[in-house]
Amino acid sequence: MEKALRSKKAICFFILPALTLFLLVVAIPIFQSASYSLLRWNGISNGIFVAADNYVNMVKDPIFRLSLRNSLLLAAASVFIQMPISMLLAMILANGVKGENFYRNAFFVPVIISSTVIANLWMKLYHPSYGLLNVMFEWMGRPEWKREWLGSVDTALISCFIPMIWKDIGYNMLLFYSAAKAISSDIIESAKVDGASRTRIALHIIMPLILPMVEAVTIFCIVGSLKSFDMIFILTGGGPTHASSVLSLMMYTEIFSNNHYGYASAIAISVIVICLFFTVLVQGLFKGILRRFGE
Amino acid sequence: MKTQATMKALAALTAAGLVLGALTATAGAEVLEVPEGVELTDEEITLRFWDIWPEGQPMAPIVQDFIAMYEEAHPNIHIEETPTQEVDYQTTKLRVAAADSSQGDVFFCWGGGYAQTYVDAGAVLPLGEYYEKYGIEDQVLQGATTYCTYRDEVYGLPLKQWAGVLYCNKDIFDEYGLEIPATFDELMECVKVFRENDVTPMVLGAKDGWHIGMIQNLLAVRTAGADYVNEALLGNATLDTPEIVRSAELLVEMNEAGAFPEGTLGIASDEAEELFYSGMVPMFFGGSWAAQSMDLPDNECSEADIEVVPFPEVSDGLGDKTQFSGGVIDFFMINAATEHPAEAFDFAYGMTKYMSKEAYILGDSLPCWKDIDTGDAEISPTLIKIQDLIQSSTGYVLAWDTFLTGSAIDAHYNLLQGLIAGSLTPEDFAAQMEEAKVTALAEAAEAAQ
Repeated sequence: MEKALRSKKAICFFILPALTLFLLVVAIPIFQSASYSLLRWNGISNGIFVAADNYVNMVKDPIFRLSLRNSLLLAAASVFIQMPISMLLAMILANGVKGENFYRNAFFVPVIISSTVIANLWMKLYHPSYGLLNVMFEWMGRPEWKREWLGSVDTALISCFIPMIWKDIGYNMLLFYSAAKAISSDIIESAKVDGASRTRIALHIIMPLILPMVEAVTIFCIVGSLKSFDMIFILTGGGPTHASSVLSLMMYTEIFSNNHYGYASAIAISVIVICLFFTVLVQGLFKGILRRFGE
Repeated sequence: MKTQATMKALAALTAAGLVLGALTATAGAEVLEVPEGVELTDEEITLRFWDIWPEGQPMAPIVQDFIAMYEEAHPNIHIEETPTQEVDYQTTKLRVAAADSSQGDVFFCWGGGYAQTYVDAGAVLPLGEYYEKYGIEDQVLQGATTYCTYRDEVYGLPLKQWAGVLYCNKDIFDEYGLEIPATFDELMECVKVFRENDVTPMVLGAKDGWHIGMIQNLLAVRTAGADYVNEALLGNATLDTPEIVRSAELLVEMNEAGAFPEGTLGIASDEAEELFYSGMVPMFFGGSWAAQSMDLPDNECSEADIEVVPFPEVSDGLGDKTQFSGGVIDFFMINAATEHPAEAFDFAYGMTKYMSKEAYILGDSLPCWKDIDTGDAEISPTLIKIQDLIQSSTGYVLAWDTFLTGSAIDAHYNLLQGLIAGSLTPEDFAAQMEEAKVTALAEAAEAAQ
């Protein structure tokens, strides 16, 4: 068996199904998109080769720059707001609290609910007339805090980010929690015997040991943010006046509303490049951090 | 190109338009009769039919009834229906399918700028030959095929037409001692009184750009006149004129006076319209398709006295209240790649005539075919009011988002939202709208080459 597995032919045979699938649904479409991005094409008629014009126009396009900025803001919010909250909850639960199972499941509930349902729930919360948020401010005697949350250029983006960040806190928490739980209890017990407090155990024992998971979650958060579409599409459709537009939404609009298949493909390729850039960057950063902890 | 279509023909449609006298005589089983000289196959075939009326839509049973009737009359022809929710169909499904002509043999399509891309790409069958065989020119109202005619060739079968009107809940007007407004100044006076009494005066779900467009487009008809707007949208004149700027100014004026619901940019069109149907808002500028909702017993407004009037006139405007937004924009088209063009056309012809009548009875739309027999059927009273209203119409303009093509549509929506958000001046609106229109027309011309 071992001999068979060492055979190059056998290796090729076993990876063939996965490789075929990868080529068909990932690699080939990416190369196709790259070739479309060099065309001025409405998706139906014959495309016209325009070399890098779409990329040049993209960089000049204020809507692209705004969408890119919004996508990066969402990625930053995911990493610097969503992840710390998830980590905090995971540490509290991993340290053992009363009702640990209940809380773990409760935090995970938003993850299993469809984005469409969540977006609709938040639309009701944000509604300018009967939304809970504005009604609450009215009750509090602070009517000046009332806003047209999804309808104002100033608040639409943040109003979209809040439910998006809230929804995935439970998912990240579960990943951190499972990584923390996988740490040998001997290590934790030893630290306790040495007199370490729960906070010190969390900060100096658990967190360094789950760094590989932190790295993975960071990449998930950034890539997920750059690809985010559904919630914003339902909540604001990218509006008003592109105020809450993100890259995926802009790509969708360019294809299906504006018939700019070539231009939208250029945006798709830029999303892939940005995702790859951040993946490599995060991996590099964590490599350095892990090396430091190793020393 | 649709530019080939003359606006005069459209005006003629208006005049001929929807004259009630047209609704007499024949129909029924006649839609299943094959004209002399037309040969349909005896072989077993399947026609794929794509539409936008999934289960639960009021039109769905009409479609299914006709399919059953047609299959009974033509036992060798099977119809495979694929209904899709309208927005998905419009934005993704048809666009993706048309790229390789894999849409249904018979498919629903909007005319004007929307279908132009498909026609230019050769995905739609020209129907001139079949129009002649079936004598269709004599059966449809004049101008009904204007927006499915490109480069002098007709590509669609007209299904229905619409007109934009101001629905007013007279009960609420009476409650505050107000008259239905006939001029823009009177409208603003009503807005003021309603606002003073904490009543939202008019429906608007500005989250959907088209909903704002309904009002601004009509204001442009009032300020610039229907003929000019049609010419400008065709590319023969500019949209960057003082009259178009004025239409945007009036919209902003309405918004600033509080004519629309609070937070309108965060409210979707259907959610906003519900405010009128539930009897909370006194005014709603909408298409004739809303007539059926006015009469639905489930809607509180069905209990109220609903008046249907033209949108108020604007002083010193070039258009008057006899000009409307609307026209014929819904068509059935035939896939250029179909293996059974004759049978596909025969089915589409029957379906179009049948639906045109049934949709009228249902209160969904105004018919654009002559000689439609509605028998003893009770027609929506609100729809009849609209029909009476537009009998003397002198001009129509389609909604800009159906007239324009490609990127100009999205630009239109965003510019309108900019006006409501206060981030765009009326001057910028007109200038940028013209720029978007010119760019989109150039793109369409390039794609057609």
